[in-house]
Amino acid sequence: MGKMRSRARRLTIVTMFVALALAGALAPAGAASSTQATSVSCDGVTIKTGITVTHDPSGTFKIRQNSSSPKSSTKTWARSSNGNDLSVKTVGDNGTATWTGVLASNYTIKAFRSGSANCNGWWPGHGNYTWNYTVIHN
Amino acid sequence: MRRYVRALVVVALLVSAGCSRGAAVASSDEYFHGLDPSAVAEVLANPVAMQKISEEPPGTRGSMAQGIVINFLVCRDAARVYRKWIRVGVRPSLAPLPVPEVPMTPSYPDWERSYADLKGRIASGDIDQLRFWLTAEGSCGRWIPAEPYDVSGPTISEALEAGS
Repeated sequence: MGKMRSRARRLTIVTMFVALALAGALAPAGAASSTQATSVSCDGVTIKTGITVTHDPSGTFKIRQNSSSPKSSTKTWARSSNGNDLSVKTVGDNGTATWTGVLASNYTIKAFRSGSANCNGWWPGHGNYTWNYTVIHN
Repeated sequence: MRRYVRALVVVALLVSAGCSRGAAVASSDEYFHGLDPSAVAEVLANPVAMQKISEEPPGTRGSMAQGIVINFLVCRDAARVYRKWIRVGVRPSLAPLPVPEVPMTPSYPDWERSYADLKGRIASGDIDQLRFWLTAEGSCGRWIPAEPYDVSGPTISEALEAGS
């Protein structure tokens, strides 16, 4: 009984190591990520400025929309500190916008709602939605 | 009541004056000192550049404005190097990175890094690396006009792709 229990424990430890090794192999090497939840206007016009990340060296740049509340699609891109823009892409919940071959720079995330909506019920104005996103680069 | 309305109008005017002054950028602003005045004038006349500057929060607006002026200068010079390299077959040298009297953060340190990257691409001897720097996603060539003040004409990237 004792032998069986120690074998099971050993198996659990080995399984954990294998799982950890697999996770390491599947994650992009050297990838950095930052997550933020921020409020974006539902007017479909007002641009929200998000987090700034240092993307160095050149490579892949992704913005993933983790969730939105109330549910919204977002037009998003990134702007370098010298005014160079990535192209604008639209993302919904669990969607990822991907740009490849992006030059190294400091990039600030920009976003606005894809189309206007009333997120404010009976109150005046369009209101806001909470945009939860993750930036993954290199 | 009338006094209350007058006070409200004064507050509204002060707020709007403060906002418009915050968004204004002038060629005499200190973050332009030391940079080529003709490039500063072109940026101030370029609606896309001015839109980017006005969208910047007040704390980094000067940095963005300075960074864009240097962008116009370095990007056009890199395009000149590319064209001459194609035509003559020998790598011409890049003009030095412009040095403003008051380097702004974060754009100037970013420029020092980008300029080193650009020089490295030219030094590699592989002209495609320079072409990539001018035409890639997020590059200056994607939005800066090929010819000064020609805002409706081709961008640097479009001009290179058209072979001019």
